[in-house]
Amino acid sequence: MTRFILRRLVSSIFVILIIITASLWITRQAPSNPCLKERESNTCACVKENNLDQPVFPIYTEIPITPVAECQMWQKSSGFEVGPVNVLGPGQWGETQYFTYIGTLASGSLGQSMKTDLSVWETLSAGIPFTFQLGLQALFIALLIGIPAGLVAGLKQNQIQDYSLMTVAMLGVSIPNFVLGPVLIMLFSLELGWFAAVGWDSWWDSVLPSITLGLYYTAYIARLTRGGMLEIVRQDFIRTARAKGLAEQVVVVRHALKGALLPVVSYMGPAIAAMLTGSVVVEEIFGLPGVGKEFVRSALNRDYNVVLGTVIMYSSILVILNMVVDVVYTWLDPRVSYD
Amino acid sequence: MSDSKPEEGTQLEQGTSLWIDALRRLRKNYAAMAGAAIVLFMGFIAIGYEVLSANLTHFTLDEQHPFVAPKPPGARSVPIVHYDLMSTTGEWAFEKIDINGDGVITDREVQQAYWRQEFRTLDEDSDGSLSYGEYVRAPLSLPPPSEFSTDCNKWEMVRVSLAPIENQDIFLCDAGDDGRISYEEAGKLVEVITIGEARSVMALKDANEDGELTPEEYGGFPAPRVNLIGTDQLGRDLLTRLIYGARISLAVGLIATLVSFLIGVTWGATAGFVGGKVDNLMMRIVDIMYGLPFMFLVILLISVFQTRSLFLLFMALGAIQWLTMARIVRGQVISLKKQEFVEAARCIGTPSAAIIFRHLIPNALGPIIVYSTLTVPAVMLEEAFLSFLGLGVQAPLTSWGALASEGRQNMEAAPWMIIAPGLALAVTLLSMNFLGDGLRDALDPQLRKD
Repeated sequence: MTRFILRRLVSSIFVILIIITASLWITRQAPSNPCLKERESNTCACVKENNLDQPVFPIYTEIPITPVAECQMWQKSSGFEVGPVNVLGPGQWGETQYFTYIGTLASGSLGQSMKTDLSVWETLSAGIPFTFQLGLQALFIALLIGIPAGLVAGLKQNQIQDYSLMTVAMLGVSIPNFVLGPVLIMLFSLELGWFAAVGWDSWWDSVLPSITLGLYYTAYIARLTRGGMLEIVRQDFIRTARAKGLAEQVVVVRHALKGALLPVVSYMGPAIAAMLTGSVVVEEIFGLPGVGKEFVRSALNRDYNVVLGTVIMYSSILVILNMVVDVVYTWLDPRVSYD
Repeated sequence: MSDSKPEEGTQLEQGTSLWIDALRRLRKNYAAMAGAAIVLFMGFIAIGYEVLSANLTHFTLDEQHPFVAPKPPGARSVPIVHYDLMSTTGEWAFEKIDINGDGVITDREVQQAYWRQEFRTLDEDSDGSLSYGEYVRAPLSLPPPSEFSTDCNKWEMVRVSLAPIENQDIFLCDAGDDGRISYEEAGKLVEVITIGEARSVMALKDANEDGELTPEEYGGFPAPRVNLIGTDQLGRDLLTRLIYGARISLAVGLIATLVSFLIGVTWGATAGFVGGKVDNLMMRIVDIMYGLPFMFLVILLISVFQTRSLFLLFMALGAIQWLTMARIVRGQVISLKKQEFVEAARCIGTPSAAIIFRHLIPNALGPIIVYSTLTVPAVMLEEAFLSFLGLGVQAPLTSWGALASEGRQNMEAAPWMIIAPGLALAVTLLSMNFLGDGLRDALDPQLRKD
């Protein structure tokens, strides 16, 4: 067990490193850089401050090269004087953006925003409570409604309950949240005035966004639970349980439910990943100052450190959650071993 | 799978292949058949944009008819490009349009001519004036008064709030205070087309560009056409845009699915066929990628590169959807590769690649098709999601997601702008999901036993 967790932990760190490398590579490949919109006199200070005058990845070189960094290109076009640029000597490992960034991360910081005086953590931390409350509530709705609905549908296969629940679930997986959100706002906020249309002043206002985010997953989990249930109730051990005269309730709750939830448990990882993505749109629709909104704003604004910080934070959460899911899975399904 | 199951029943019984069997099962599934019909219908609409915009809606994708607010469903605009020439006799005869008889037509007169035409349509009892009830049906009378009342002030307030400041004086209504609106009074209230539209209609004919039409230049004017489901904030016909959006949305769905199909099938088949450590590694990679926030990388990719090329969109969306496909194909290949026909192929020296692509994949096609059918709506949803954030297709192209995004910004003033693309998306996704589920039920070998 401990070995299993340790091994997963090591591979998780590896995965997060890949993510960091990939996102750093994407941002540094962009045709423009975050300093270009600065006032001209500040551009080179900005370039140097953010290490953009260094190569992205380690280059081992035998000939002296001057890294053609954004600052120099910018210098050529603007005529501004830049201080000496980092030059690699023969056979030297140069200082790189990659190691500088990893070093910053290793010291426990996500770095500094490139556009404001705030640190990345300060920029994001304002939105974290919103995004997490939204995600947790949506997840809660999805599990609390989705699992019972799927159970009922699975137990009453091909009966009216099954058909009606599954039709609703099919609708649920087909209505995009960015259509559902505005329709809910029009109906409940603008027409009936029950909720605030924009913003989030009290818990009550979080109901609509949570439903908007959670509906798809509620429907999907209902479908998964039904599928799992259908498979389980045909198994021999359920027949045995029924044959020895156990009450139907006990058969369902003690024996069938555990197995029927396996697909739901393994869906949790992707579901949470998708929910974090979905919350970007929901925050946009309901005007919530969450992390997702900050992410899109920063990406368009080329505030790369904030973007990288968000990606790293989300990936870490997901990787850890996936690990938890795996552990729960092995606990639920005795057929799966730890190695 | 038909190869793997040699006929062994009674000797003369006609064997049914998996596909005929599945088709029969599918036909009995009404929800799936309805889904297939709707998907086909949407496909035809998407293909037929050129034909439909020329013959049904009479507007083009980008044709703007600026007005103070989006026009509601049923309003009318004058198409600029696709116009049929009205006859030069009757209402549209030159001398009828040229009211002051100076031998040339000006933009004001064009506007008036459209209004006269409109007035006759509205004046159902042909008494030369409009009752309030008739007036309410005028194309721009939005929003309609809640009850028919002779109290004009209510309308005035609505209209004034919609009008630019300098046009407030045209919103005087019922000057004679007789409860009916005469032709002149109504003309002050309703603009069938704006002066800008009148000018653009004239510009089509105005060879010497002097802003006036002579009898030689004039050859008839386009008739106003109904915006069946209204217009957007720039006066563009929503139905036309919806039809064009269907083309982009479906194309993204199909092509990105094809990309994911190619990657997933190759990856899964290779892993399953080679087996051992390679399989272990390849599937571990898939496992790891499963839980990653890929959409964030896509958002990052698209936003930092600022290129909104459709090609990048296809690739990016396809590249994040192949994981499940790889798992499914691997499972199928592993169960198939131990069978005799594969061994036979190997005995006669067929190369591995040929065994994979000629023998294994065709036999695993059932689940692959089912999953592909379910991938299309998923990809369409993702494209719509990106377009909604403003990161998907860019103007002048449009997709259902982009339309929904525009609709959300005008949600209060023009609910039709979000409802129409939202409904189109929901109906199409629903149909595809029903079709995919039906296909799965029809092709599922487990169900085949009972």
